[in-house]
Amino acid sequence: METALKQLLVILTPALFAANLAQSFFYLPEAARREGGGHMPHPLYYALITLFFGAMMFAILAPSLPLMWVAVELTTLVSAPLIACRRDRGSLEAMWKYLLICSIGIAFALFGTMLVLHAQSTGSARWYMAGFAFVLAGYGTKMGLAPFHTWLPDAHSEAPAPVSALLSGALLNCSFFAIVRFREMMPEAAAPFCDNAMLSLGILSVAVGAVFMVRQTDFKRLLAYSSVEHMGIIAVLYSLCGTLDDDRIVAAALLLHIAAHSLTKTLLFQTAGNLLLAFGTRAVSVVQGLGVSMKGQAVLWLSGIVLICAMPPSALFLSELGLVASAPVWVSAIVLALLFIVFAAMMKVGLSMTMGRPIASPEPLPKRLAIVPAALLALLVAAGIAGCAFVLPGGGV
Amino acid sequence: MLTISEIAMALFLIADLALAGASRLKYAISLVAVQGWIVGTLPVFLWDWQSGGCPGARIWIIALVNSLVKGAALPMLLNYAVRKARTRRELEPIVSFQISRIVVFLMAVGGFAVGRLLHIHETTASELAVPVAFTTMGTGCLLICARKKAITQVLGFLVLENGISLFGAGILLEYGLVVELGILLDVFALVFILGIAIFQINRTFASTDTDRLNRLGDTHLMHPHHKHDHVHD
Repeated sequence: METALKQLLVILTPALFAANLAQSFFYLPEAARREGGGHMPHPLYYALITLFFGAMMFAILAPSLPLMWVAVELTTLVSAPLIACRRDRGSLEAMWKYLLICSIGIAFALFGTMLVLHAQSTGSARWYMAGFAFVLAGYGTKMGLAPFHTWLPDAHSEAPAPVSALLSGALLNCSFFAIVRFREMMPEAAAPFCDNAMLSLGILSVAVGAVFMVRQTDFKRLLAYSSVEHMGIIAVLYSLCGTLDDDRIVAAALLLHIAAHSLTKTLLFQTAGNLLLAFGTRAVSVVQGLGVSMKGQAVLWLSGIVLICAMPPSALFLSELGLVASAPVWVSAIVLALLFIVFAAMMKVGLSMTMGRPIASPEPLPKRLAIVPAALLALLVAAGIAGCAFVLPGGGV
Repeated sequence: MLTISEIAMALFLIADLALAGASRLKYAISLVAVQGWIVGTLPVFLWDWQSGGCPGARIWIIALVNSLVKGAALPMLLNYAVRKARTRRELEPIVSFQISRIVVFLMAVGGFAVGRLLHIHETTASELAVPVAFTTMGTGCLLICARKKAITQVLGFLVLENGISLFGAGILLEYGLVVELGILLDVFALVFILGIAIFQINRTFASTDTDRLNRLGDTHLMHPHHKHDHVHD
C-alpha cells in the first residue's frame, strides 16, 4: 500500500501544483485589484507556494521517519503565510490557529515517532501502540481528521482559492501518507488497535463533516467540511485494507478516492474563489441565481458539487461503492446514512446557488478564470465515464 | 550519589513548577531559556564518559547548536516580539496561578507513576528523564490552554517542545545530525513566524489577547438569525 500510495502522490501532487499555479496567475492579479491593497507581494506568494510544493514532495519522498517529520512541519511553516495573504483580521486569525494547532499536533507526532523508534529497539507491542496513537493524533491533526480538524474550516475558507485547493487536495494527502508509513511498520500484535483507531476517527470525521455541512451558510466552509468528510472516508477505507482478507477492491478504491477527491476539490475551490471575486462574499444567501447571472460558473459549480457527492459518473461513486460493497454491514450502513446527509446538504446549497433568481448582481469575471476549472471538469467527467464503463458491466465489485 | 544529570533534571522540574506560577512575561521567558540550556547540554551530561571515551564531534555540535538556539536565540526572539508588539508584561491567567501550580505538581506525580509502570528506567539513560519529560509536556499544554496572550501560547509550545526533546535525550535516541538540525530549524522558523504574526495581530486587532481571535466559526448553528455576520466583510 505504501509504495502504491507513494507512486500516486508523486504524480498527483505536481499535477495539482501545476493546476493551482496556473490558476494563481489568473486569480491573483484579479483578487488584488478587487480586494484592494494589503495583499502580500506577489513574488513572495509565488516563492512560498513553490516552497510549499517542495516541502510536500520532500515529505512524500523523505527517506526516514524523523526526516519526514521535518518536512511535514516545513509544509505548515511555508503555507501559513499564504493563508494570511490578504492580511486582514479573518485571515490572520485563521493563520494563527493553523500554525498553532498544526504545530502542537505535529509536536505530538514527533513524540509518537520517538516512541515508535524506541519500540523498534525494545520490540514491545505496547510501545508501538502508544507511538501510533500519538502519530495518529499528530498527523491526523494535519490531515483534518475529527476531532482534531478545528483549524481546517478556518484556514480553507480564509486562504486564497488556489492555496485552499492545494491545502485540501495535496497537503491532506501528504499527512495521510505519513500515517500510512507508520501503520505499515506496526507488528501483528498492534495492528487491530491501529485499524480500530483509524476506523473510529474516520467514521467520526464523516459524521462531523455531515453535521456541519447541514445549513452551512458559507460556501467555502462547506467545501472545507466536505474535505473533513472525505478524509474520514479515506481513513475508513484504509482501516479496512488492514482487516479484510482480500483487500484488493478496498485498496483500489482508496487510491481512486484520493485522486478523484483531490482533483474534484481543486475544481470546486477554484470555482468558489471565482464566485468570491465576483460577489465579494462567501454567503450562500447572497450568491443566488448563478444560472441567470453567470452561466459558465454555474455549470462548473453544480457539476463540481454533483461530482463531489459521488453521483455517477464521478470516480468517487466507484470508490464509495467499493467501500460499501466490501465493508462490514454496520460500517456500510453508518457511512451510507451519513453520506446521504452530506448529499442533501451539499445539493441544497448547490441548487439554491445556481437556480432561482439572482439577488445580488456580480461584477463580471474575465473568461480566463474559468480555463483551469473547466479543464479539470472535462478530465474528471471523461475519467469517471471511462471508469464506470470499465468496472460496472464486469461485475467486478 | 547525585550526578550532574540528576541535578539538571531537578532544575528542570523546578522550572516547570515556576512556569506554572510565573506572572511576569520576562521571568517566564527566562525560565524557558533555562530549560533550553539544560536540554541542549544534556547529551553531553548523559554521555557514558567511563566506557565511551570522549564524545564525537556530532554530540558536541548538537549540544552547542541546541543550547544556543533554545537557550539564547529563541528567548531573544520572544523578548523582541514582546517589546515590538508592546504587550503588557503580565500574564493574564484563565486558570489561576495557584491551581496551575497544583496541576503541574499532580502531573509530576502522574509522570513518575507512569514512568514506574512502564519500567522505563531499564531502557533509558536517566531514571528521571522520562517522568520529567512527561511533566514538562503537560506544563506546555497547560500554558497553551490556560493563559490569555498569544505570546504565552508560543511559550507553551516551546515548553512542550523542550519536554519532547528531553524525552528524546532520555531514551538516548539518535537521529543523526541532519535530522537534529532540521527539527531545530523548524522550531526556530515557527517561533519566528509566530513572532511576526503576533506583531501583525497586534496591529490589526489592537490587542494580542487570544479571546479576540474568535470571529471565525460556525456561528450560524448557534445564532440562526445572525447567520451572515461573519461572511460579509
